[in-house]
Amino acid sequence: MKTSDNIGYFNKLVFTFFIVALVFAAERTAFAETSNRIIPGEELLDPNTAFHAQIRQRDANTAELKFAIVPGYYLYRDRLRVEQTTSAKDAKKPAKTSKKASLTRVNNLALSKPEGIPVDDPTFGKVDIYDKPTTVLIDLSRQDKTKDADITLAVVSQGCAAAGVCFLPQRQIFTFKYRPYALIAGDWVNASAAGQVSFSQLGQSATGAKGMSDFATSPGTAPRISPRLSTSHGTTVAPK
Amino acid sequence: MYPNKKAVIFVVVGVVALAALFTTAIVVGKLETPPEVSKTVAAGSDATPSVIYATSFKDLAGQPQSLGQWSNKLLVINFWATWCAPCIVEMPIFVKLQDKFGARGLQIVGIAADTSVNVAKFGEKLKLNYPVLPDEARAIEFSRRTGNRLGLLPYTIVLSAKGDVILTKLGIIDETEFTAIIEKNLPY
Repeated sequence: MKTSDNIGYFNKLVFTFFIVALVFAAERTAFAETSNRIIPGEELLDPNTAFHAQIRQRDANTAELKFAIVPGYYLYRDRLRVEQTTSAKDAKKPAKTSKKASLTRVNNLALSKPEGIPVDDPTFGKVDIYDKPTTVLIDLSRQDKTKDADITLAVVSQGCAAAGVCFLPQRQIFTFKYRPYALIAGDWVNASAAGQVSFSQLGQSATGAKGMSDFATSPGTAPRISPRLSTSHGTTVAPK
Repeated sequence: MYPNKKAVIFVVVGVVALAALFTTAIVVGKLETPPEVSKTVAAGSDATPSVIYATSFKDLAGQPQSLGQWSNKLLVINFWATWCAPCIVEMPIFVKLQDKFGARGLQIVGIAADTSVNVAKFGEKLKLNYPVLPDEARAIEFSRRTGNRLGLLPYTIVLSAKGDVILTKLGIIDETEFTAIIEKNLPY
């Protein structure tokens, strides 16, 4: 046989093995069990994907916090808190819950949260959840409006998968440029850091209706902004 | 008669590609192992049963409880929290099983990613008949080491009286299935 014939034959052999190996590999990955799968064939998403969050400045008094919630996942409306720390470095550490003055100044920002889907939970009673893309407004009216500045916010939220598992509360850090004189909304920013935190970081207990109260009663917050009103300077509305 | 350079290169490349593909297929296949049965360690974890038994958590009275004290039991470790609705839904099943099979060597232990205040309140309400060990700081990390990759709740791991991991389960347990596995593995 000529060399070229050998090569032709060998090529065909290699090609066949190539196809077989591909099929083999594909089969092994597709049907392999993983420990984060509770419904066969359905992979659970990590919280940054299931509840992907972004923030942007809307105007001098408001920022928008957008959650791109994936179908099959939901966040608890009342397990959502946004705090502002004095520097990005400090923001990496969760706020201490002790009463002693800490070096990090932490301030809970008032939020205007849209109505969620009401559900009757057998354990917690009536709760509101967000199970689709949702935007929450963050009150920026107390920011120093004399100049541009970087704002660092920590968003603490907690959600579950409809498949019957819950994530630990997540704490995500966002930094964006605050421009009090801007006439248009800023760019959306992603979290620069994210991690899980203990439920205590949400600042409430889940075991009673009292725990589901909104932030109007937590210390250091400004009155809530109603999303129905325009957010011109100084307009705030009493909580509904 | 001599094979030309082109042919040799072609063949070598073909063989290398083939080898790479086979290696990938094997490695990928080995990466995921079924979590149901493991002789020594739960899938995706680094906590062997001996590591699990060597770990301690404080109980509601603040006393450290080593998991190893139950190494001769059929040990069910359930990770939960009072703020986790699906966790609460399945707890009555554990209460029932502990009641029914406790005398035959079943020991259920609840490790809570929660504060002792919350857990104590809930324990009273649900009339728990097994130890609950609250540890907000360590519970989830420990569950990850036993195979709970995403750190979700509820998560359950079962160790036989012989020290093997029998089962890891993410999400609410199926009462019928779980009871069958328990009955099959009771030490006495």
